[in-house]
Parts: sequence; C-alpha cells; structure tokens
Amino acid sequence: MSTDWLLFGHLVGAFLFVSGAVAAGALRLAALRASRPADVAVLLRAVRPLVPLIGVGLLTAIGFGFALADRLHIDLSSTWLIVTFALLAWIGVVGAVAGREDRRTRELAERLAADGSEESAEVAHRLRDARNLVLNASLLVATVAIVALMVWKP
Amino acid sequence: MTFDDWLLALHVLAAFALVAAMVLFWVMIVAVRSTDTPEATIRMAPVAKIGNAAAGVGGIGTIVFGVWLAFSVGGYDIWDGWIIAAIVLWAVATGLGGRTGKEYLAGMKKAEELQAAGQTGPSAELLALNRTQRGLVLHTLASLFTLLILIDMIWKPGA
Repeated sequence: MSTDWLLFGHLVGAFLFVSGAVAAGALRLAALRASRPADVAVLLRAVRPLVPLIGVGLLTAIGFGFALADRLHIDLSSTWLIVTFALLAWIGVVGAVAGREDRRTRELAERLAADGSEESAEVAHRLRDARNLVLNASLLVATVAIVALMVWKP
Repeated sequence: MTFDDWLLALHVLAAFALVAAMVLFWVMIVAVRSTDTPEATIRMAPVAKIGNAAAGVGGIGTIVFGVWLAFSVGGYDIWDGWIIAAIVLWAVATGLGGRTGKEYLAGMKKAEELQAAGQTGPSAELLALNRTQRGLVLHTLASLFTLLILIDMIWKPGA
C-alpha cells in the first residue's frame, strides 16, 4: 500500500473519529439546555449511531497511523506520540464511564417521556452532574488535543 | 514552526470543523426522518445552530487558509490543476450544503407555523417535509464532493 493510501486511511479515520466526537458533544450540550424528558431522550438517542462511527474512526486512524509511522520511520517513543497514546487511553476509559452514565440518563428520560412527564428534576440533575460534565468536557478537550498534537507535532 | 506550517495546521483544523458539521447534519437528517410533530422538529434547532456555526468556520477556514497556502508555499501555484479542482469542488460542496439547509429549513418553518397555530399533534405534511428526498440527495452529494476534496488534497493529481 502506498504512503498516499496510508495517509488517506489515517485521515478518513481521524475525520470520522473527531466528527463523531464533536457531533456527540453538540448533542449532549443541546440536551443540557432541554427541560422536557422527551426532548432530552430524542437528543441523547441521536448520540447512539455516533458511537460506532467514533469507534470505527478511532480504530482506523490508529491502524493506519501505526502503518504510516512505520513507513515514514517515525519514532514511536516521540513525546508527542506518547502523549497522544495517553490521551487515547483516557478517551477509551472515560468515554466508557461517561457513555454509561449518559445511557442511564437517556433510559430514564425515555421512561419519563413515555409516562408523559413534562419535567424531571432527576434528569436535569443527571445532565448537570458536575462529575459527568467534567468527564464529557475532558473527552472533547482530549480529542482536540490529539488533533493539535497530530498537526503541530511539538 | 514556520508560518506555512501554521497555515497548514489551521487549514486542517478548519477541515475537521467542516466534516464535523457534515456528520452532525447526517445525525439530524436521520433523527428527523421519523419526526412528525412540531415540538420534536423544533427541538433540533439548537443542534442545527451548532452545525451551521461549525460549517461556517470550517467552510471559510478551509478556503481562506487553503488559497493562502497556495500562494505562500513554494512549488504550488493557485492555477495548478489540483488546486483549481479543489476550489471548484469546494464551491460545489458549499452550494449543495446551502441548498440542503434550505430543504430542511422548510420542515422547521412548517413546525413553527403549526406550533403557532396550536397544532401540536402529528402532521403528515410535516413528516413529508422532514423526510425530504431532495434534501437527502443533496447532502449525500455534498458529502461525496467533500470526500473528493480529501482525495484531491492527498493525491494532488498533476502536481
């Protein structure tokens, strides 16, 4: 496979991963501003199809990234790559934790919406939970940081 | 880092914003396909605003920094075939994106009209507008043209 193809695969994976993460973040932000459980349920449900997109994008970017690094003889112990690996690990772990909490919030919102509930203090509390907000924000920051590391290679 | 490196970095970051907006619009297109009430349609408005902002930043950033790079980087000229092709593809993708937005805005406007008239129940007309086939085709084409830009950027045919 030529270097161009490796770069193409790496970039397509990166675009899918970052786009999915940004879209999920935007939907999560919109859910934060919604007050009705039905609104929250719709917005958080829209995040679901993005999860496989983010996963496939991440794996594709990593797979082609390693192949590209090998082809271009890039030292895998470079600081910018080590920081990238650490951020990827952070995204994997924190993404699973925050994702599980958001799934529970969505399920609660769906149940309440089915019951015709117009407002829910519990859903609002779960969405505004400081720990969950920090975890979600850290995912976006880590994603942007990875892009910056890839682009600037400090 | 040189000035050109910065230009390239900003060009690539803008491209990420543009593709993120396209993916966000795909999510919205899928979500509204089963939406037949004014309330549920209007619910998507804040998400559309975020998408429009990302598309604006990404669209303007890619073309401005891209053209700047073409003038700044030695070895490339603005009249190189692959750069002209990229500009044409960008213009087509932007035009298609704009028309896609207008198609889906019709559903949003209808939802607001229905809500203002106190009609909160399901509406077949609203569902038809939200399921616009024309909008789906336009966004598919815009996505394909964006993919072609990426291919053009990597292989740089004729360079």
